[in-house]
This record gives sequence, C-alpha cells and structure tokens, in this order.
Amino acid sequence: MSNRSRLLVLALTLAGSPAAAQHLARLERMWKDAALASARVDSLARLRAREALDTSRAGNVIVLAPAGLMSAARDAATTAWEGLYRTFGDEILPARHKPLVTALYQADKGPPPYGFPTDAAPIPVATGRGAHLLLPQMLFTLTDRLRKDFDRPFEHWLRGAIRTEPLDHVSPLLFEDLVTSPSPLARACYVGSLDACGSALGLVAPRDPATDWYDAPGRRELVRNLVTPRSGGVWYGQCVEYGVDEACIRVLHGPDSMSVEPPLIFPNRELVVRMALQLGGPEAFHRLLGSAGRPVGQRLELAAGMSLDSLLTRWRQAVLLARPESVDVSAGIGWVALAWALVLSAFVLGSSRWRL
Amino acid sequence: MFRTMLFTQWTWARNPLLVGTLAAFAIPVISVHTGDLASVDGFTVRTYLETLQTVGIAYPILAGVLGLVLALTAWGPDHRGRHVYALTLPLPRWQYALLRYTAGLTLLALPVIALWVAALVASATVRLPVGLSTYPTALATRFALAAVVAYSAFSAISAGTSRTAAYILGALMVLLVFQLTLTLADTGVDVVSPTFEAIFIWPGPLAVFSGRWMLVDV
Repeated sequence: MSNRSRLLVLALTLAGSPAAAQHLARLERMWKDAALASARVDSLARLRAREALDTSRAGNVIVLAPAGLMSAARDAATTAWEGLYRTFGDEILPARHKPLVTALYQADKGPPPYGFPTDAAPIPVATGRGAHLLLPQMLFTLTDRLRKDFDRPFEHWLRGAIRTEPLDHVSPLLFEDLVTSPSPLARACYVGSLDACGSALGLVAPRDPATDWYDAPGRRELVRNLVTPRSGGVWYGQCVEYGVDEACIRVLHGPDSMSVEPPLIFPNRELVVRMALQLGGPEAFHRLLGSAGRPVGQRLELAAGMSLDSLLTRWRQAVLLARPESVDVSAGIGWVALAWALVLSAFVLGSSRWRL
Repeated sequence: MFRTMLFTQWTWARNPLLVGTLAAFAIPVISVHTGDLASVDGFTVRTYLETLQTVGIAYPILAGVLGLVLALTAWGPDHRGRHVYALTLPLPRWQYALLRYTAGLTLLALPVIALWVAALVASATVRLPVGLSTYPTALATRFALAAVVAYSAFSAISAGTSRTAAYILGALMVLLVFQLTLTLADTGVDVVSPTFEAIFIWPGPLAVFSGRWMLVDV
C-alpha cells in the first residue's frame, strides 16, 4: 500500500467511517489481483517467446536463438567453444562447469525480448555486415562470464577477461606498451631483465606500488593523469606544479592508491595468463583457480607447468615479435609502387595529342 | 632537348615547387621539436609518438599535392596552347611525353632530397630512449615512392584526352551515386569501402600512401 493510501485509510479510520475504509480495502484487493494477473500474462509471454527459440549446443556452450539466426549461431558456438576449450580446458566441461548460455536476438527489433532464462547472456545481432560480429560478441560475453570464476585477488590483479585467441595472435599494442611504459621496469624488461618483466607485470607483489613500480617522473605523471584526484589539493598541486616527489608519494598513498596499477597494461597481463593456460594443458585453469591465496607469479607457474622465468621468456619473445610495422618500406610495397608508377607512365606515353 | 624541357617546366613550377620543398624540409624538423627524449618519462614518450603520428599525415598529403602540382604544371600549358608547341616539335608523341614525364620526375627529386636531409638532421639531434628508433631514409624512400605514384597518376590523367578525365570522374560519380542509392534503399551494402580498400591496401596502386609515416617509431 502506498504512503498516500495508508494516510487516507488512517484518516478515514480516525474519522470513524467504516464504509469508506471497506471501500478502500476492496480497491486495494482489486489492485493486487490486477498486478498478479499482469505477472501471469508476462510469464506466459516469456514462456511463449522461449518456446519460439531454437537451441544449439557446442561443448558446454548453449545458444538460444530464433530460427533466422540459428545457422550463424551454430557456427559461432562451435568456433567459440574451440577457443574457450583451448584456453580454459577441462575446467569448463559440462561435468565440471555450469553451461555457458547465450541468447541471441535481432538488434534492429528493439530491446531483448522476454523469454531468456536468467543465466543466459543476451547478445544483440545486427543485420547485414554487422552479423560478422556475432563470434567476437559471443566470445566477449562468454569470457566475461568466466571472470566470475576468478577469486578476488586474481581479478583485482588482472582487471579483465582472458581472451581465447591462439598465442601467435599478439597485438602490436603490447610492444608499444613495453617500449613507452612510464615505468623504468618496463624498459629494463625490454632490454632483457626477466625480474623487471615480472615486476612490471605485477607478478611480484610490491611492498609499495608507488615507489617500487615507478620512478619520480613516472609518479608525477601518474598523479597528473589522475582523472578525479581525491587527495588534498595542496599535495596534488605541489606534485604536479613543482615536481615535489614527496607530495606525489603522499597523493599515491592516499585514496588515489587505487589508481596505481602494474606498469604494463591489461593486454600484457592478459597475454601472460593466456600463455600459462594454453601452454599448461587442459588442467591449467583448474590449477590456477585451485591455487588461490598464493602470489600471482606462483599461480601462473603452477598453471603453466613451467618456471616463471621460462613463461616470462616466452611472453617477452611474443611481445617483441609483435613489433608493429614501422615506416620501413617493405620490398613488397616498394616494388608494387614502382610497378604502378610504370603502368601509369605507360598511359602517359600512350596519350594522344589530339584532344578529343 | 631534355634540358630545355626541364628548364621550361622548372620555370612553370618553381613557385609551388619551392614552397613544397620548404614544407618537405620543415615537417621532419618541426615534428622532432624536442631534442632529449631519453630523459623524459614514458607518458611523455607515448604522447610524443601520438603527436608524431598526427603530424605524419602531412607526409602523404604533401607527396600527393606535389605530384598533382607537378603534373598540372607539366601538361597544363600544352592544353592552354592547344598543343601547337608539341605539334611543331620534330618528335614522335611518345618521346615528347617521355621528356615531359622525366623532367617532372627530376624536379620531384628536390623536395625528396630536402625531406631526406631534414630527416637526417632531425634524427641526429634527437636523443631517444631505449626501444625507439629513427627512420630517416625509410621515410624519405616512402615519400619518394608516394610522390612518384601520385605524379604518374595525375600525369596519366592530365596527359590523356579530356574524354579520359571525364571517364575517370564519371566512374567516381557513378560509384558515389550508386552507394547513395544503396544507402537510401537501406540495403546495408557498401561498395565504396571495398573500392577504397582495393586502391589503398596492398597491392593497390596507392598502398604506399597508407600505413605509419613516422620519423621516430618503436
């Protein structure tokens, strides 16, 4: 009963009008009945919509989709399961893990329709060229769902989902991050120090992130790049304006300490985890989850089934190999450009003097 | 004959060519505005590279503009003079066209050399942190190739008949109108993007224009 009707009932009761109070009670009963009926209709609509969906299963991936999307859904589910199994292994088999359910709907038909079970993640599918995005959307949704399996410290360190691409697909962004990171640890890692690599990835728990991971200029830039600095304005100003390192440390030890992340960005941390899982075999994810409470470096060692140094060596090699193509002119581009110039110059030589 | 042709084209094109040469010299020097990157922090290096990438757009634009200007100044006077000069020369057409074309190419060497020298100077003055390198010769080579392709393409259009130019412009218009019709019909079909990809992605004719144009890079 709303506050207004409560007050009205109270007023009427106090006013000593039993007929009016009965009338109000009847109205309230009618309102409750109507709400109940509406919920039943809603439930029936959900059931009808759910019955209209087809189901496809690949491994432990279940896709609910209308008939029009079923063919694409089946292909996407098969490919998605291959990637998921390659990375997460036996830990996500039906015997061990809850089904990974997604429900597709046509994005151009408005919001998700009723009928999806609560554990299904809805995925809007665009028509035309947008349909090609179904597989990445599905993988994004499912890997994000698997984040729920992470324990809190691991999630706090990684801060994102583990992808499923094979290890030979490494973005050039990772190399750029290694080379341009604000931390001297990253540059030491680039030169070849594996200890520095481990620290830059945050695999070794720092005593003090602000001073262990960054040097004075790095700290100043960290403070300067705080989106909404919460610490006192005096320290912030002294750090940013005058470069007083003590002030920077004070800011980064305050409420803004949450902003101090490991020097190498999330995609680099994600790659080292993916590498540990894919190299560690089908039980790697199980070992990773089962070692909660230990330092992240040790957990990755256990998952990968190799020493941390070996894992970091492989990670570093993969990142160095992902060096983006610089301005260097490859032979292919050079010869093709010259060939086109020759073809076009042939048009020049073959031109007519008679202007038609 | 070639020297005369070269001198004539130099006379016609010297003003825009000198401006282009100056720009080619200035862009690398201005882009590397700080001399000491080795002692700055990573955030600054990252911002610096982003700025350099933004400035890098100027290189292919300059190469394209130089190609266009040299092609227009090489063939424009012929059109205006109704080809009387070309017809009075005791030369077959292909030889005359070859002389004009190579004279233009020779003039194109000026801004390319200016850019190369400027890139070498800028590279010598900047101190870089570990992991970054300079690419003066690669940048100049890429600039030269882009300028040559642009000059050849615009020469092919300028030296051809008006009908050739009309065909090319007409084809472009048809493509755009076709795309507009498809968009209005809400078909979701895109013909412009694949066409541009075919032109600008390897092995397309203008592939040398795409990609990173950076004097300092990882």
